Amino acid sequence: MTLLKINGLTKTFGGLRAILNFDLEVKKGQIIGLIGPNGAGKTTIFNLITGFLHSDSGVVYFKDKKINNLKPYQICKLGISRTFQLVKPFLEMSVLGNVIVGSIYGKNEKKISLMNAEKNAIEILDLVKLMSKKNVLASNLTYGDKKRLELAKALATNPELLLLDEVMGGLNPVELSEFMKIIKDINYNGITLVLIEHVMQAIMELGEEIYVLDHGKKIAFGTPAEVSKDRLVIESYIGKVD
Amino acid sequence: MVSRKTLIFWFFSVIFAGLLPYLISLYNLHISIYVLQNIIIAVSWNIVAMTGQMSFGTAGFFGIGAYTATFMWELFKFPTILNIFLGGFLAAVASLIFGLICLRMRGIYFAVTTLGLTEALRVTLIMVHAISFRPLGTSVPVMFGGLKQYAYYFILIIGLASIITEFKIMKSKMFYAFTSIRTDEDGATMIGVNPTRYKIIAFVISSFFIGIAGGFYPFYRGYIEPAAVFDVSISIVGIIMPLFGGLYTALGPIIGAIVLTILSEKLRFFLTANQLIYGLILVIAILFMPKGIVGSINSLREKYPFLFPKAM
Repeated sequence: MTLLKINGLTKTFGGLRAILNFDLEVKKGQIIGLIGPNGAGKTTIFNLITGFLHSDSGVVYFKDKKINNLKPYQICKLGISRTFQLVKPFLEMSVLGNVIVGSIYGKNEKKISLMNAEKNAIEILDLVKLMSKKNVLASNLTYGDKKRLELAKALATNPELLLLDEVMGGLNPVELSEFMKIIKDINYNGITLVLIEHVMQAIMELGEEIYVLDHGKKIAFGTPAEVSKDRLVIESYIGKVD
Repeated sequence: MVSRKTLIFWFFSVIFAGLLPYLISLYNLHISIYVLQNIIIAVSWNIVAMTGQMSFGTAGFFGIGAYTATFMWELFKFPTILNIFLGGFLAAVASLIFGLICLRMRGIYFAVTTLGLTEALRVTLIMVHAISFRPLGTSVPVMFGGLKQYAYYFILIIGLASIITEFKIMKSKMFYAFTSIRTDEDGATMIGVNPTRYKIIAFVISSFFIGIAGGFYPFYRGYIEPAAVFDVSISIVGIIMPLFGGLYTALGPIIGAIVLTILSEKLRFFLTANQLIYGLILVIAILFMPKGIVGSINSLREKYPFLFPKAM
């Protein structure tokens, strides 16, 4: 079943064509990778999907419903959550408080009590291994823990589709393999994932299909093996060999 | 949920507040009424501040409450308490309309717009009086025939209602919405929180109480004029008291209102220097207690737990 479908997405900022005619299809249960050099437009696509930016043309379908002009909080309630590349923890709240916000206002808003939201938040903290720090103020967390919190907040909203923006950037090897296991668990529990990543090891191992973006255009698509051998992809990262 | 100690504290506070008129002089009762009025304003401003909006419109809604109550009495001769509640109700409606238009603005734009609203209202009321050839000041019958005791009990009930509302908000799901919006609005919206909706809710609740405090004013003093009820100092004081006592905390605005109101009254005796001393105290407070009284106590408790032997 197709969960997310993007047709002909285009976004221009003044004279700059950020995204041009981008197509994407994600089926339920998949892990899709979105890679490309810096500035290719990957985060812009996430912003367009989640309502932080309005597209100039093109359509985004979620479960066959057009979601182009919805606001981010509406899109969250439909079942799409995302993390931010520059993490946005609620610094004045504790780790637990941060996640509770997601538990309350995600897909469950009308039905959940504060007590149940707290229970749900604790389960999620357990999943991302932040339980021991649940009462720590978010501003006092290490970088790696802030990334865990970012993931926890998004998970708390009970999404069907999770968009992770460079969630593994800046992690040490131990944290990296922990995160990769967490992502596999999340997917195993039924959540569809789209990952923007620069950490090639992660994306090649996790991704079923990879989209490659350069200067706002899709330049390649395929399995990790296919994409890593694609000449255009190699050129976009390393440069042309003359 | 609520600890026994807390219940005992509040029980005795309310008893004490209830007995106050029999314990103190009439002059001090007048000050107590003033304190309660400021508690209502400070608590209400704090509720809006919790959503990250800095409102300079407190005086605007105070004045709307005051003039609505006055006009209701002039036109329909309703009983005093009804007039006052209509003042609160209309202030809430006005804040809803104003909020729908302006609460999408962030930071300083919102602050300046609310300031502009207050001034616009003040000038409008002056013009209305001028056009209808009325004198600027209007006399209004004093509530309860001038018996300050009953006026005190009325404003005490409203004050308690505003405090209870604030505490309920702090313990509710909405607390998480408010705080998330304040700390990171983009992060909040991505997690499912509709920022405008909660800003408006806070704004309307706050304006309702401010409007009631405003409605109370003319029926307590027996007099109303635009400069008095749309006075910018009402807005300023509404900001300073929560800051001094502890922003975003439940007790902070209450403590700030009590301390600063009593302070400014007692300082009156320094005829020329009172404003200077008041200002100096505020500057020192901000320098040494940037988190306000309650915030500083919390910080002390974290650093020096031995000073606070009993767990609160």
